[in-house]
Amino acid sequence: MENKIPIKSPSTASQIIDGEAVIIVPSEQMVNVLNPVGSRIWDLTDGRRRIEEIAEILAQEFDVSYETALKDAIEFTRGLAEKKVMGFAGEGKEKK
Amino acid sequence: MRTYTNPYTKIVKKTLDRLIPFTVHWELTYHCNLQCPHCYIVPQNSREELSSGEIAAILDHLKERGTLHVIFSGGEILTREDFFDIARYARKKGFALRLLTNGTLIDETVADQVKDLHPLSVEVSLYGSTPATHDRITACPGSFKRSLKALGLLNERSIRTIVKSLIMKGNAEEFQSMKALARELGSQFLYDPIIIPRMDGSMEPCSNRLDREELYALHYPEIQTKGEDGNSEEDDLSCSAGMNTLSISPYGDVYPCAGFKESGGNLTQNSLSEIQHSPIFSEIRSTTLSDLRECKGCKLVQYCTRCPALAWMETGDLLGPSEANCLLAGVTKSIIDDKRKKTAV
Repeated sequence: MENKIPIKSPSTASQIIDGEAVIIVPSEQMVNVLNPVGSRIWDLTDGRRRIEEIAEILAQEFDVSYETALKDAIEFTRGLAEKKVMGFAGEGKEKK
Repeated sequence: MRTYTNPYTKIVKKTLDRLIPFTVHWELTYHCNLQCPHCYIVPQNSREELSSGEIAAILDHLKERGTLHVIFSGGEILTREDFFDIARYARKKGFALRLLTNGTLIDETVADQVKDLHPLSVEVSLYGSTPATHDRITACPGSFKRSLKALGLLNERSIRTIVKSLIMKGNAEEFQSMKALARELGSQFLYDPIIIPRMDGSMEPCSNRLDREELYALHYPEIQTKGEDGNSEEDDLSCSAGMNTLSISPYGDVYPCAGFKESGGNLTQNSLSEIQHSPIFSEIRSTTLSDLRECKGCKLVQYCTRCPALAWMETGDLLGPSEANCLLAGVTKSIIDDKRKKTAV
């Protein structure tokens, strides 16, 4: 899982205000506001970084162990993937 | 003093406090293929509309400044050949789009392209439930049929559509059938009975506004008395124009909102921050109920949806009352009072 590259669903719209990510999923007419860690993961999700790379940055910025950051990053990206807000590179379903 | 517990509401409050342009209403073009007599737009044909490159640069800046919602309107947005280049770029930047259109230029191919934009909504103007009424108002034979076809194509693609109608003399009698038509099509229905003055100050379009009796008849079935006492707080006459919302014209002029055609500057010459601190933006932001000479003691305040832009466009006085808002507030109060009396009996 940590080798996967998370990608934002192209259907979402988002903005980061004061470190908090607001995500809109038009098909669901749904608005989500993420917590600071989730917001940073969302911000770091650029379609190139792997989950493990995101976790390394989180560990430094939030002063937690790499293991904790990795667990958070995996849980977070899995959760958003279940809601179809994110996908993973190479898995195909996230396209459109 | 309000408290904000919902995370999204807290974000919106931040955008208000920090002048983050969270919602931008962008009139991409003043060109239109219809000729509705109530339209407020007066194209300035001697001026060049922004190019797609200029628009992209402004979108880049808006993203940095915190914009999330972008409403694209016209004129008719689809008369711009580069509309989809602009809209795709906006989506690539992560903006949430609402598209306002008359729908007449939407065929299968265009509907597919719209679907790929994942808009929050596509809002289609409709001025009647029959071709005779709608086409008379748009001065364009066949426009009703084409707008309806567009709504069908968009709904088939699971795009959220909203039928938007301006209710005026000449179509008010079709109000209920328009609502039914929207429902039948699978669209939401929104209406507005207030025609705004033309942006050059002409009140001519307003001659088609409904009178008191007509407004009463229109709104009576729409207003519920239960839990609808109107505004409960004094500052509910406040407006987000110029705070977390603003409007951009096809030429780059920036207004506090789309209905308030007093420019704070032009994005080809001024920075957004300069414009947000221009005299007109500052004045509209600083206005409170106590500044509104006639409104502050008015018994209709709790029923009123006062629009500063409308007051300014009707009278040239930002702090005065709007005739249309006053009329509507009075009608709303009468209906609520009459319904309560009826219930009490």
